[in-house]
Amino acid sequence: MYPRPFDYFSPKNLAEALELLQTLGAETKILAGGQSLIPALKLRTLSLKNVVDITGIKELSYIRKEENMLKIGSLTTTSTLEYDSEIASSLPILKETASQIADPLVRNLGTVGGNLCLGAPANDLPATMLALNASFAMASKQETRIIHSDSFFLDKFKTAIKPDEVLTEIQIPLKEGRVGGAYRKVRKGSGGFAIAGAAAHVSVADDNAVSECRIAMTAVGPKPMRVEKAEQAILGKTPEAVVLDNVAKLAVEASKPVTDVTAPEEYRRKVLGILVKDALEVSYKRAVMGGYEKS
Amino acid sequence: MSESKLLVRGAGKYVDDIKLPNMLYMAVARSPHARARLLSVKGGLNHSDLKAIVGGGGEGWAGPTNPAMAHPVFAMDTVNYVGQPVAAVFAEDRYEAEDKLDEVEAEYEKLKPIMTIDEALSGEPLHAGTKSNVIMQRWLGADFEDPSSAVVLEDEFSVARIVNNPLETRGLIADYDGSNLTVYISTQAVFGIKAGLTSTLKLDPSKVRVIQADTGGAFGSKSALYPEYIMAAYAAIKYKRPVKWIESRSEHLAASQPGRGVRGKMKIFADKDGKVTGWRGEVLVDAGAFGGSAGSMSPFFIGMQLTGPYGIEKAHVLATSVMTNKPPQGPYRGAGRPEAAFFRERMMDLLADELKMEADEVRLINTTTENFKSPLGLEIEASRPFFTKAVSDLKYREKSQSDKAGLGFFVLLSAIWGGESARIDVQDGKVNVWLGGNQHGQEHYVFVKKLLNEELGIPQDKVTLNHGDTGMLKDGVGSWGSRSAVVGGAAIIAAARKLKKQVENKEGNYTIENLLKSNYSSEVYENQNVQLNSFGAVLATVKIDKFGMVKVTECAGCYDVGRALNPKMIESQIIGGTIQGIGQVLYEEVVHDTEGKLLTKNLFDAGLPIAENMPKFTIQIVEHPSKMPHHARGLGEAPTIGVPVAVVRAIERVSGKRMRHTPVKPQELIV
Amino acid sequence: MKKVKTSFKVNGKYVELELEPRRLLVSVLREDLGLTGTHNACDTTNCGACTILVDGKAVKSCTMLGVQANGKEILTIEGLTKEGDLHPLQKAFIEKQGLQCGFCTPGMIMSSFWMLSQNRDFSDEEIKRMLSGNLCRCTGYNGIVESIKYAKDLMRKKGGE
Repeated sequence: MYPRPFDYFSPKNLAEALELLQTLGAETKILAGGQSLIPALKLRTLSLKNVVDITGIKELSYIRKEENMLKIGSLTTTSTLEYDSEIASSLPILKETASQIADPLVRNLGTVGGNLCLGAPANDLPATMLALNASFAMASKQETRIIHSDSFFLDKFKTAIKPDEVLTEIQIPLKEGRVGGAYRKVRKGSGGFAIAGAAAHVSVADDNAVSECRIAMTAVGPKPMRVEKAEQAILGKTPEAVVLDNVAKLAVEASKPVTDVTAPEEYRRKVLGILVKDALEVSYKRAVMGGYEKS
Repeated sequence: MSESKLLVRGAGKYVDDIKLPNMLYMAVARSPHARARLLSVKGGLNHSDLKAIVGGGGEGWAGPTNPAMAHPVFAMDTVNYVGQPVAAVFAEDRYEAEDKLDEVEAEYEKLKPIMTIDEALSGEPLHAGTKSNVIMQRWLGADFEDPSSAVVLEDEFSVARIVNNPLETRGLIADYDGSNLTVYISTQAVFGIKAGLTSTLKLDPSKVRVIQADTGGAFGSKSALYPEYIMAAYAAIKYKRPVKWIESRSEHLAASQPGRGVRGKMKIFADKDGKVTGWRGEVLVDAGAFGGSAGSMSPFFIGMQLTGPYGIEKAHVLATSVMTNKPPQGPYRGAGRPEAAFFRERMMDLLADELKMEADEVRLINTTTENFKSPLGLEIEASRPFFTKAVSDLKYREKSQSDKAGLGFFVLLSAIWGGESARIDVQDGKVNVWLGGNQHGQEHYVFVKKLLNEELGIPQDKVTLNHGDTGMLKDGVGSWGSRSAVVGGAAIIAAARKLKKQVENKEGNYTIENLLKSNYSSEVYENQNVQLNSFGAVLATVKIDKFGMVKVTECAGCYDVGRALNPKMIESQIIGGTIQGIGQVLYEEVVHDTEGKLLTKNLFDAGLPIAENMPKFTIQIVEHPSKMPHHARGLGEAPTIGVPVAVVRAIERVSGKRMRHTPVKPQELIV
Repeated sequence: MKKVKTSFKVNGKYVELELEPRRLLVSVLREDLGLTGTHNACDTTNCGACTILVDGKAVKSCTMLGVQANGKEILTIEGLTKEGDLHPLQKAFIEKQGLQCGFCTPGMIMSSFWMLSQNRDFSDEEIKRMLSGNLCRCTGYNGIVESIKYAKDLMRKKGGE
């Protein structure tokens, strides 16, 4: 119910934070939204020597549109993402994803960076970031590097971020033309973690065929992942039932769901198949019709 | 219980809001194993300090038939469920108390746990000194020759365990001053708690006082005596300091006493027009690791209600409760009534389908036109008038056609036996009341004020219903089993009439002025030895989406409350109970792995419904007066009895799949 | 473990405390400041009985550290009531059966307060979705939704708050 003792630091800027992460050593973690960290500390599944609270670093909370890129500061709350008008018009899939995370109160504290760095197998933003071709900027005392989302999610609760790094910015390329994305997820009717989730993003050419496609899924394996085989199955095609069925089949084949108290694996597969089709259909519709219409 | 106007300000005084000087916080070390020999335990208070078994008290308390199967306060030679208390530690603050749990060292030798009813029946006894894992087994009714019938139908059902999960977990403060023990507790029954503590710790009852703090819901979980309560009282006496224990939600999910967890096997005989001519049944309750909790008696209680609102003349039922390596079963709103209705109404629907009759037709033909006592012991009044009207008011035929609605018909058996006590004091023009039962959200003060106004003309703003307190009444029972307005109301009226006589004796005649100008006190204990039952009917419609997820679109109910003493609260109770009924059907369960470890460890997994799960509600209150002086009947548990029946039938009709258990999972319904 | 100086505003009053970092904000409010209206009812961030406002946003105080309150403005259920009056939400909850046992109620009211402070219209479905972080076991939620709608009406009539 209550955490074990730890020491607490609240750096006022990024440089201070990075310095602390190097000097404090092992059993140190970053506190951002705290909506995953604090529950783990409370249940004592995690015990720490040090907690570095970076929420005081106001410069890490922003949403900026720069030329062909949308840049989101990692400390932006998921609630801000949900209500931001720039996001709503440029990337409705992101608004859609954020609005399905946990509950409104958790979203008021939970951060985009935290949702990504935890590496949870069932979190929502990872799948959408993969579908959006996003990259993440990471800073340590020594350097700043940029990692593409394809190389970020490594395994269950394991991402490419190093213990002395802070994820600072999420970079999402904005494409011209007819593009659209959607995130679809199913969870138990009374709430909880995802049973399965699917994100899709497509570009549609003048001949109405899909020219680019990214599909990612969550809660159906140790980590959120893209399914390139499934993406290729719709390139150059339009989303007829037979095409969508094939894409769904390939996605399900690539998935590795487990049976747990949330859902049995066979059911997760069935749900995933439906969600992939839904996400693709809606993405295509949004690309062709333009603008954000709720489907 | 503080009234709503205080609660909305956050000015309630629940147990954890009470701070006493020099108070210690208690944390409980618990078994990580479902079944093991406890080889040694060091640290904190443990069985080397107190060897005792949990004494009696509370709803459904039966007393273990064999002390060898009794729940120990501190585990002694063995542990028998994950979460069973093994030791207790104490500290100046609650964070440190939790830290101190690390200091408890216990050595275990793991044994293979028994996790199902079947394993319990065939496996070795869990407890030394017992012959089997059967706590009790009894027949109800009388055997009969199979009637010659057009139809013989058999089926088997199960209702999964559900954790009560009131928003406020269990908790108490035990305070000992060297001579007197005072306990502040979140509870449904101060007298049951007092009796249990007194008998377990062998205390002088005149030196024990139990006071109800504001209580944040209970649903059955706060009438029993638990090991933790005894530990806190024992520690308070030993250390001569107040000891506070507040249960964590994780502890509540693991180690309180969940309800339901019942299997039923039914075999019915009927003639071609749907009249049931014979009913055979088996009720098996998974009573958890120890005898003595409500689980020991519940199969008998369930068996007794199997015939429900129908005039079934021949019935024979075997009621069995067995022990498994799970927490002991306790009452959860309905406490056996929902299970009985589920088993029965599922068979009535099967009968309807078999005979290609409408669900209401097959029920109607089995209703009674006069008082009826079932061979299983249930007494009902004529059920046909209520049912006929309910079917019409609920528009069953129309909704059956348009939406494949499900229908449930049931009787609520109020647990009025034992009656209740009430005390009324008049002093300085103010009226103070104490009841033996303890409200925890049901606004008992509303019916108290209303009845006193009716009986004695007392203006409602002069009346205060005080918190439950064993120091203010000689005796009392408790608030559970849909009884409080019935028995509490009767006790209030009796006490009021006694008061009236006192005034007449003193002043020559009764007037409200004569009452309020002097000091008076009247206390009564009104026992009840009759059955008081009431009818209810529920209609439900559902939609099932492509993921197999069910949305209950409408829930309509007719409930006979005898007399609506508090109409707004009645409606609120029905809605609350309806959501709980939906929770039982769609989301709620307790799941253990094969090692006995709890898998449903948070409120999502436990399946507590959220606001989005609400259907459209239609509520019809029926008032067919009872013979009680206030004419009211029970209500509290009624929706939890009728709603699961109707919802499951609607799911069955919409999906085309026969439904035999709750919860119903989407993976069963996805195409 | 070093204590940390933490200062913040609670219900309009400025407080300065020295806190163990591990102490949750809900514990600090209830035990250090005696504000027992906010309740701690679960340990997995599900139930929302601990809901308060921090810098105008509704959050679960059981999933914040007390030390994180530094420099913030906090509003608890006790802060809604001005000088003995009841806030329209509190009046509405009584009038429309928004509570029974009252344990979820302070959190529900604070969550509703945040909802209404957003000054936009909500459909019934949206209200229910906004309540997904607040559990109630007694009322079945209908009275709570009605209370929120009624409070909005009361506040509109009053000229808004």
